[in-house]
Amino acid sequence: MTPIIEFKDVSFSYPPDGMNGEKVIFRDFSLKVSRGDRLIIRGKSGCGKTTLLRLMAWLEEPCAGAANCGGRPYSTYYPPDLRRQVSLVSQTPVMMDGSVRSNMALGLDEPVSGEILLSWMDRFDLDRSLLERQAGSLSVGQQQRVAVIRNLLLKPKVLLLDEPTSGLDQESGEVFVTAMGRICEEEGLTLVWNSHNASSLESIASSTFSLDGIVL
Amino acid sequence: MIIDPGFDDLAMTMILFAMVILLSIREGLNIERSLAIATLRTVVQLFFIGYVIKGLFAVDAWYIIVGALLLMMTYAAKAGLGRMKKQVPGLFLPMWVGVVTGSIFTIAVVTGVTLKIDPWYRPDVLIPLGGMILGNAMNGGSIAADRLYSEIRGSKDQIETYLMLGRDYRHAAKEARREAVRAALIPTINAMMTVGLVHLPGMMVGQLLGGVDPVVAAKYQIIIMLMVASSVTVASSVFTAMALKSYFTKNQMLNLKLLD
Ligand SMILES: Nc1ncnc2c1ncn2[C@@H]1O[C@H](COP(=O)(O)OP(=O)(O)O)[C@@H](O)[C@H]1O
Ligand SMILES: [Mg+2]
Repeated sequence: MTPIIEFKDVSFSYPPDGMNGEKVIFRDFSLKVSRGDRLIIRGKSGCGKTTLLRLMAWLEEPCAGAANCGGRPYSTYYPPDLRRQVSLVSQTPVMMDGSVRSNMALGLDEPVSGEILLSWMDRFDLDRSLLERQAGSLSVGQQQRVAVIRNLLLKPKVLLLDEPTSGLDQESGEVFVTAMGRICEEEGLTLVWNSHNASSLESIASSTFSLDGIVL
Repeated sequence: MIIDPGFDDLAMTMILFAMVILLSIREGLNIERSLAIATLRTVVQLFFIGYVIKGLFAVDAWYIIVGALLLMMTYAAKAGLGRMKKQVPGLFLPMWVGVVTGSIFTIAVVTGVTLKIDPWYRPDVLIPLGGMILGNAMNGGSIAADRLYSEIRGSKDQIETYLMLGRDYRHAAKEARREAVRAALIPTINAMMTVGLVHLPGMMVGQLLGGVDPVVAAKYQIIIMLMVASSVTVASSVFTAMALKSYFTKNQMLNLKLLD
């Protein structure tokens, strides 16, 4: 079966305008993500995990090599369409001015029923009373879950999570991991999850990939 | 009764200049040189433009008048961008189209509908109105340009968040664009709030000194204020709509290099 995401001999450096840039992050890097995978990307801080997810979400452009989604080169997609299918949640959640409800609807053109939002909040163990609260007043951990719901409402094929538990204490981290595992199961979602300490994720991972030693 | 000062009378105005220089020396302001250059430039530039306009007033060919206006607008677009605190490539065309559409739309409405001038290219109307309006369009465009840059720079994370949610770059930067247009309009709105109360606009003063009936002068000033508001709004909207693209790559990513 064609992998949902395939990188072949991808090179990338900062600043992103050619391999003679200042700082090479990837050189001839290859990776396959298959449908239904729950892939954990490990590696120490600064090794390129965030950069890899940004490449997958087409927020950065490889300097060389091929990036395919569902067998088609990225360049054949309209970027917003690709980003709705390969959906990135950044490490630090960004909430816009407004309620939790309006923040969850940021990517949607059609209004969404409160019932649907509440059922997602239940699945992530978010108190229902938060729905009409100012999103910026939530704790980082709560914002992180709102951000994930916001992306999930777009029904992506692949969800990319950049260290989503880094702002959480151990207990809420585990709650989040369990919830994510269940949702992937139920929705048939492909998950790529960055973490610099992957131990707590092993329970839901189908495979892990270490960037240590690959990256220049 | 128009008082037309002779050149010798005008020379006497230099008393004011001399006083300023004396004060500057006495107080150790150390700006005599700049003051002298500024005064010289004022005199030369205004006489120059006075004679140019006098020449244009005598012209009876629409293409020369339109050509002169387009030239002025091109220069204004360049000057408006030159004033930006941070230079961003690719903004000349947006600024030019913004200034041109903002000015032409406004002038066309006023000369065609309000003043009903005949012929439509009457230089003694088009040249002064054009000069004033495109100056305002340029100001608006240049405020919008600075503000668009700082808004996009200050909301990188928000813009990227919209992009990650599959929004196109226009949607992602909508808020930044709105703020830029608002900022461009604020000086105009403030001026409209206080016009006639706190100060008399230069044009109205000029008309009064030129012997025009004060109510007629007021009518013209009303037209002018509305023209300024319209040209600033159109120029800054058109400019920002076209300029957004410069801040993104062709694959709709924020061009972070520009925003360092
Ligand atoms: N915009 C940027 N410009 C220059 N260097 C960057 C930029 N973003 C990240 N880097 C550098 O690239 C390397 C990889 O960063 P990143 O992908 O964020 O690593 P990780 O997520 O694994 O901590 C780091 O050394 C970082 O300093
Ligand atoms: Mg990172």
